[in-house]
Amino acid sequence: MEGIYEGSGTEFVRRSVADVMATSAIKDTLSPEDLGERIRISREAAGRTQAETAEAIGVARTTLVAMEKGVRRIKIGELQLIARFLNTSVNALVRKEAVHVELMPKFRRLSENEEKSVADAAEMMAQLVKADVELEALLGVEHVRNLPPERRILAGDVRQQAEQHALELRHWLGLGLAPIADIMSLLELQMGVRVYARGLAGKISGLFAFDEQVGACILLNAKHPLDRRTQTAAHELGHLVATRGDAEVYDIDELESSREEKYANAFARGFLTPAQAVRQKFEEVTAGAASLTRRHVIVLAHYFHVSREALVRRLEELQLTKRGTWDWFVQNGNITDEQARQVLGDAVQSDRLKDDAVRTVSLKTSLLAFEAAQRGLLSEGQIGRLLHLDRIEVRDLLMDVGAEESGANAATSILR
Amino acid sequence: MRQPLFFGNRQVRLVADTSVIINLNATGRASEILRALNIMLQASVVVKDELVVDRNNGRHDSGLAADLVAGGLLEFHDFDLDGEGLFESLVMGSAEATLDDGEAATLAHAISSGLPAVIDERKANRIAAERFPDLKLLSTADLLSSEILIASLGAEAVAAAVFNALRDARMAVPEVHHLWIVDLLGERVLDCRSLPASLRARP
Repeated sequence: MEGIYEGSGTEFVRRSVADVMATSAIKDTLSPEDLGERIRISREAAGRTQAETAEAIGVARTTLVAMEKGVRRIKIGELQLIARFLNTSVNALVRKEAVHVELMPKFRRLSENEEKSVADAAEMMAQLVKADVELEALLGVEHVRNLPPERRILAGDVRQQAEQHALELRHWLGLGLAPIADIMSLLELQMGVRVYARGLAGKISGLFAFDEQVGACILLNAKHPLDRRTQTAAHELGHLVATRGDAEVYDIDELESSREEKYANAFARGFLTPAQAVRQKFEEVTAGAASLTRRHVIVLAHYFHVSREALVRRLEELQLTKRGTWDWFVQNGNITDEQARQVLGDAVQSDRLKDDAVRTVSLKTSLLAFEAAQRGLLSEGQIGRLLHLDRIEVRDLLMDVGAEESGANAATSILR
Repeated sequence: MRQPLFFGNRQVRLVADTSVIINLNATGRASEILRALNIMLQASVVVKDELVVDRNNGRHDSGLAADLVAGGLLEFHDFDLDGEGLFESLVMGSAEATLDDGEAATLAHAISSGLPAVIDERKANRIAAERFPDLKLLSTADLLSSEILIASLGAEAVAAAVFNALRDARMAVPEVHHLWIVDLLGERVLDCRSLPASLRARP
């Protein structure tokens, strides 16, 4: 290597650029229509209008419209400006395997404040989903999808329909009346739903989205306790069963008055706490007692893996206790975690998703990204862009997985 | 311990990738290193943009790069016509055959300007070797391994610079450089998680 810089840099022998370009067949380029569609989706995800984007790249709005429709060829310099304006890269926009799907909700009756936090959460879910789907496609990982049969909400009492559909789904899943200890795993493993948990704005408990290309996706608020997240997951499952093709993907506490939301809430109650199972267990636990005690509530809520409030409200709904029972508990010192500990002991329930949510990238996605880097499928820059990490974070992620892998040898090889 | 890649008495122009500028900044002595080696870095304006946004960890590589520019050690360049075409060919296509914009811009600028590229990223090196077999490729570690640096800054200062880049920027080091780095750093390699575990296990 010594002396390689004798003379000037221009002595460095190079083939002509035309030659290089000719021999490096640019395969897998997108059609103008597909490219335009990707730009439109990215622009809308970034919350930018056509007018703003057109101005940023120095063209008329009508030109940008033509670009998005695929009728005006986009020059590479224009693509760079667009990518920069939308906080992405040209490669992320045009790479063949890149996933560009619309998972943004359409809002209804949301205040400006709420709209922003829901939009942020929806964008977060879209980013998580897009990264996983692209990584799976690159690595040839098949995502098993086994969605339950769709049920439409018909005229009449939505609560009755929801209870019935929840029971039907239980039978379809082979659950009978058994309590559901880990609904997130049930969604992931038995139905192939993509479930994520991340810290979201307090008012948002969860989001649901469905897209033919990527399937059903649920994002839950990792800041909420496990029993509340379980309730939310069951609520989103209600949307999956009845309204997966609809645009409504939000779930905000205040918005419970629509038929779809009432249905999803009733579905969650019916799915997690089936009426027959609750009545049966209630008989056993209360054992002829004259009044409902905190201990009863704690034991039953623990049995069904729901919050104490959800359990009492379900008892009220099933007329096993008077309306207003939960409110009475709240007004009279509530039912505290300490009381629950006294009844149940110190056993701490594992909270896999919450643990995962504090990581910059989930364990599963980290492993996929590491494998893609190992196989030379993605570069450091591409992984950073895909997972929204900076370079040092990417290096950390690849290093952490790599360190664990360094002991692997023939004895640990996977048989395929 | 190292081959004399640089001679100090004649300026060498190199095209640097984003990750290389991050690594050099992390040494804490980027200006001294470049001056000692008499290197003038060039980088694409795409790299300049990446340095601005690549700061989740509170780093300020953009500011440090601006210091290098002010010191006459780094220049940012727009594409010429050839470079633009090459860039397009490096970002468009399947994931496996393409690079993200900064990496692609670095290779495109190096080819169109006829200068060697300094790039640490493994896939970028693979693609460059396949598509541009005549392009000279270097790594940050190649720069840091020069005897001139030891002569100019002293062994301890170089060791500290290398250690900082490894610890703070998780600099990737090609295998050819492992031995001299272990010799130079001694016990400190234990704290360098970007080095292979086998090196860090040495007594």
